[in-house]
Amino acid sequence: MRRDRQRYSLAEVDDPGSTATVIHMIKKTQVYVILLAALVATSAGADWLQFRGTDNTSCCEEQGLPTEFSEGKNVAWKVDLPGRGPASPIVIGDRIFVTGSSGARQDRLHLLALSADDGSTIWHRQLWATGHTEANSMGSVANNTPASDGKLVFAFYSSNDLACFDLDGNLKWLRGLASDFPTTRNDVGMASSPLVVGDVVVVQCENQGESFVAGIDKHTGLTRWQIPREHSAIWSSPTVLRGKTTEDDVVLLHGRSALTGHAWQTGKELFRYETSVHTVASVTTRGNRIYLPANGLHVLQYDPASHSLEPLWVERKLRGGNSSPVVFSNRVLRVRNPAILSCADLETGRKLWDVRLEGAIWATPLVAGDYAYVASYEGNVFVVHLGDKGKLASKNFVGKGVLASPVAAGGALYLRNDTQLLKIAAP
Amino acid sequence: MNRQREPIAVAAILMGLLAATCSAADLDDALSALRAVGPQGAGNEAASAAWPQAAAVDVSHVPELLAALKGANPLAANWIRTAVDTVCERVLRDEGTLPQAALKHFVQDTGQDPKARRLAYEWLLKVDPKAQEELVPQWLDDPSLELRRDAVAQRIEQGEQAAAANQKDQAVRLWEEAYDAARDRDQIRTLTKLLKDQGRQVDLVKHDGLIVDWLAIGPFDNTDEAGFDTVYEPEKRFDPKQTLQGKHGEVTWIKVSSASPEGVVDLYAALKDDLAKEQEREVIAYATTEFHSPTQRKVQIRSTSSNATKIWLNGELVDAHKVYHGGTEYDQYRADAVLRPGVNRILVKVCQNAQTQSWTNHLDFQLRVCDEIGSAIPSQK
Repeated sequence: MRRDRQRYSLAEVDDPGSTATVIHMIKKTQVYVILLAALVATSAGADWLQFRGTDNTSCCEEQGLPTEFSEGKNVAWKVDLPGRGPASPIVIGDRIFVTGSSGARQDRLHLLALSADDGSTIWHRQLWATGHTEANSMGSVANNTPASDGKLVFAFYSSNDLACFDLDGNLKWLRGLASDFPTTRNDVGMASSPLVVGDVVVVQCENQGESFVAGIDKHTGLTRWQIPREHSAIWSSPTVLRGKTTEDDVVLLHGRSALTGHAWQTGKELFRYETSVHTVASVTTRGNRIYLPANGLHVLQYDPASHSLEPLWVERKLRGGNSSPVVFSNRVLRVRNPAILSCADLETGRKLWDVRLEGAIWATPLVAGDYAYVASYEGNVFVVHLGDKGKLASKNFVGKGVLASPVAAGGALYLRNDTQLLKIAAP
Repeated sequence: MNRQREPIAVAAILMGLLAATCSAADLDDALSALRAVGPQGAGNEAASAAWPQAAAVDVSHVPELLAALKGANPLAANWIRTAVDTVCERVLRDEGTLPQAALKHFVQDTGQDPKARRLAYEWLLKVDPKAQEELVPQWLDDPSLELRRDAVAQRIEQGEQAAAANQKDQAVRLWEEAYDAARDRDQIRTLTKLLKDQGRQVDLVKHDGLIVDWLAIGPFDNTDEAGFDTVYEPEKRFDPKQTLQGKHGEVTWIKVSSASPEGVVDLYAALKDDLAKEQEREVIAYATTEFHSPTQRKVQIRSTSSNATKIWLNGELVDAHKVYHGGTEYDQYRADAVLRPGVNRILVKVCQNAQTQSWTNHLDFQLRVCDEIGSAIPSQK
């Protein structure tokens, strides 16, 4: 029977007179299964699982996202959130997960699962912060974007509370890293987002006090490894450099004086590249190339066999602000101060064009199709067409206080301002 | 059925079945496991197994869950509160109501955990919004900071309404009441401005119990930050007339009295004659004071400094933070301590490192003695 099934092709199924009805039905079922599997695969691929996307690249394959939006135009829904925060949402299937903090001391920590359909709350969990909650007034204790492996959600906060829930809101484990390391904090709030790689959740707690990076077992919440770090504040996030297999994935960490690469299984340092590294923007990768925001943009070629780095080029003119570089096609984008979106050639670093925007831009641009979505703190999302010359396509106001990087999944764009989450999608 | 609602409905049925089968003994066991979690992830495995039972109980058990928050460590408290939220969220969604009387009774029981009472109050408001009108005015002296905050906010608002109606005396009376009760810095700041605008004096030093009179000595050496762990003579014994060897020569204790409205003790200013240069780096200063208590009592010693600090009470180290220039949030550090009857001695070690940025130009601290919600405990001779 199994062999028989394998003989039927899609072309045969399209020919109604070629086989008996019952076999035709079997074949049709097979096609539905194939189509369903393809749909599931596409849907799973469309998830946005962590800061700057599943691979930390800020790029997505979504096509046809709205390039203009405003009240009444392509805003599918807008919901008030119970807590503030620069954290971006993440998207798993038809659920949006978003964190926030509230209260006089910003010590109420929120994690919500929202319906992608209508923005309604599916569940809402709260924690009391167990660590420091001091934060710059622009930010909050929910600076850190949550992360997921598609089955579990890991919410990490500036108070160094790390919680693991399943997709239905059942608590799996909790860590209060502040109870283990009471001096781990800084005066404007910790902001490194967690990274899920392999079986660990990597948290970077690099600061003036007890300074470390830890790999937390994603199933048990126990510390698998911990490495000491410089006593200096870092707000950049751990980034994955994908290998041929998950086992080969490497964790990239910004330090104030070096970028280091680590085995996710042990935390062992595999390589080090010493330079004055950006402390807010985060590194991005494509293949074995590393695009490092530092005193300029440094491009490095990684050799996984020898764990060595070969510097390719450095372009000082691409010294950007606090948002991270984005690589697409054969180009790289940097947001430079004051609010200039620069595009450069990926092979040489030669600048191709600038587009002048407005405001303070902290969020990392999202590249989807032929467009970049760049959000300013003042609440404008600039849509820039990425042609031979960049061209501002539209400017869309979505509410003040946008620090969260735009997210795209399931044919929609998700934007977070200081108090609200918006879904942007064509009707 | 909506695709999204389907798993929720199934989960609700399963939760209902679980709820029906969870006995009181099971709940006790589950709560014991949740309360047993500790640092470094200790107890997570057992808690993870127990949590579904706690989160699936019948809503009539919610007061037991809330009561279990009393004395729970902060990590355990989060395990328990997420169970409370899960039960209440499920029942409110499925049945449209929660046990109002039981929740209200819990909120009003000041013997329960302050945060648990607030949690109960917020669920109560979802089914009985009018409870706010009845309960909030009672909370001006409530031991729950978050409940007290609502009462203070209400007085501020009532004062503003009185002021708008040109009833300034009434407004000032309401704001003074609120100022005395306020423990949150943002509310204290708001009330300070409102009262000052009406020509009233406010005294944060007195309100918060900030200690402003000290003896100070220094500088001692902190080259390469090694002095933080070096035991200098002031840590061994105290004699107000002693002469000690400092970083640049002999030093003696000198009186320091802070005139800062926020009780900041500026040790750079106090020791300027003994420093090699203004705002010298890599130095250490000590400050000490007597604190009189009529009884033995538990207190918190709260401090703020952008420098690395250590604090001793009666020769016992109660707090230590080797953190340089990591911020100056008010009440940044909180140390539990026990005062003995009579005279107590507080000693503070304040360390400056080699950083030279403009925001590191400080060798100072704030310190106060208070109860667990921040109410001032003054020294009483």
